[in-house]
Amino acid sequence: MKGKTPVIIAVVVGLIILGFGFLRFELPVVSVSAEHLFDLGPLSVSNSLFTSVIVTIIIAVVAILGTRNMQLVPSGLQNVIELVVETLYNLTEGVSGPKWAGRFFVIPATIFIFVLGSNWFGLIPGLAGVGYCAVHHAEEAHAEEEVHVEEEVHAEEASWFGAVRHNTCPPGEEIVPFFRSPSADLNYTVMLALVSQVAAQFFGFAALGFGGYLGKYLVFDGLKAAFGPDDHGNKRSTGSMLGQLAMGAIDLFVGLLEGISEFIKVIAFTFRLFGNIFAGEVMLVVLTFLVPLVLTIPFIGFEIFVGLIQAFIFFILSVAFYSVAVTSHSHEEGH
Amino acid sequence: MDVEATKLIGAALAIGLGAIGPGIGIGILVNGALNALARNPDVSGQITTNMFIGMAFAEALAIFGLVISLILLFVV
Repeated sequence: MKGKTPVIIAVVVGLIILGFGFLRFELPVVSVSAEHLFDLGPLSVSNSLFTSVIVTIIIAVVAILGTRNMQLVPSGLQNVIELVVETLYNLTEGVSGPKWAGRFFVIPATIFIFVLGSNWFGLIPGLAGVGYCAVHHAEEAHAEEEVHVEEEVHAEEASWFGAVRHNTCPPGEEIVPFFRSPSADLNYTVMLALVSQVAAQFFGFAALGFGGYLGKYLVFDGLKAAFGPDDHGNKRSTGSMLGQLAMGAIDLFVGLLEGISEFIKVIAFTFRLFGNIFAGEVMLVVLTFLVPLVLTIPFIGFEIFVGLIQAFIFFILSVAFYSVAVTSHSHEEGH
Repeated sequence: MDVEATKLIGAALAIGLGAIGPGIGIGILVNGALNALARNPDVSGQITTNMFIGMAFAEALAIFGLVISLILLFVV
C-alpha cells in the first residue's frame, strides 16, 4: 500500500493537469428556473416536476419492498427503514417531548425522506447530459446581448489544443435535461415550506384554541391593564397609566412582529433549501468548466453531505417551530 | 460604467458582504457548542441538534445574499 501512494498521487495530479491544459469545455447554460418538458393537458410539466415524480416512485417502491414481508426481528431493507424512522422519531421526541412527538413526527419526517431523495437524485453524475436539443429559454433572453461576446470567446478557445463542445446539439441550441434536482426549483421548495408552516399553524390552533393561539400575536393584555388597577390594587395615576400604555403598545408591537415572522419562516425555508442545492449544482458545473477531471469528485462528496444536512435542517426546524407553536406565552411568563 | 459590469459587481458584493456576518455568527455558535460539549459530553445529542438549528438561522442570511447574486447573474 505504501509503495503505491506516490503513484496514485502522480496519476491524480497528472489527470488534473491534463484536464486543465488539454480539455476545454464550454460553460453550460445555467438557468434558475426549471426547464419546460411537455404539456399534460393544461398542466405544464417541467423537468424538476418530472424528477420529483420519479423520486416519489423510487421512495414508494423502496418502502413497499422493505415492508412487504415484515418480521419481528428485522433484517435487510426492513432494518434500514426501521433505523431511519426510529432515528427520526427519537429526534422528534428529543425536541418536542413525548406528548406531541407522534403528531409532529409525520409531516417533517416525510419531508426529510422526500428532500433527501431529491437532493441525492440530482447528484447522480451524467444525468445533466441526458436531454433533448432546443433553443434554451435562458439563451433567448440574452441572445442579442451575447452576440458580440461570443465571438471573442470562440477566438480564445481556438488557441487551446482541443476545444471540446460539451454537447452534440446544433449550434445555437442547448441540451434541455430530462432530470433536474427538484430542490433546485423554487416551486418545489415553496410547496414544502407552505405545507410545513400551514401544519405549524394547525398545531398551534389545535393545542391552544382559536383565541389562545391568536392571542400570541395580538397581545392586548398590556393595553387593557392600563385602565385597570395597578399591581397593588390602587387606582392608577395619569403617569402610571401612560407608562402602562407604552408598555402595552410595545407588547402589541412585539406580538405583531412575531406574526410577521411566521411568514418570514416560509421564505427562509424556501430559499435555504433552494439556495443550498442550486448553488451546489452551479458550483459543480463551474468547477467542471475550470478543471474538467478529478477535482469535482471531492465536491460531489461535499454536496452529498450538504444534501443530507439540508434535509435534516428542514426536518428539525419544522419540529422546533411546531414545538414553539403549541407553547402558549403565559407558560413562559409564569415566573 | 457598463450595465453588465455593474451587474457582476453587484452579484459579487451581494454574496461577498452577505457572507461576513453569518460566517462570524456560525463561528461563535460552533465555539459555544464545542465548549458545552467538552464540559458535558452526555448531552451531545441535544447540543448538536440545537447547534444545527442555530446554524440554519445564521446561514439563511448568507443564502439570501447568494440568491440575490444568482438572480443578478442569471435572471436580471
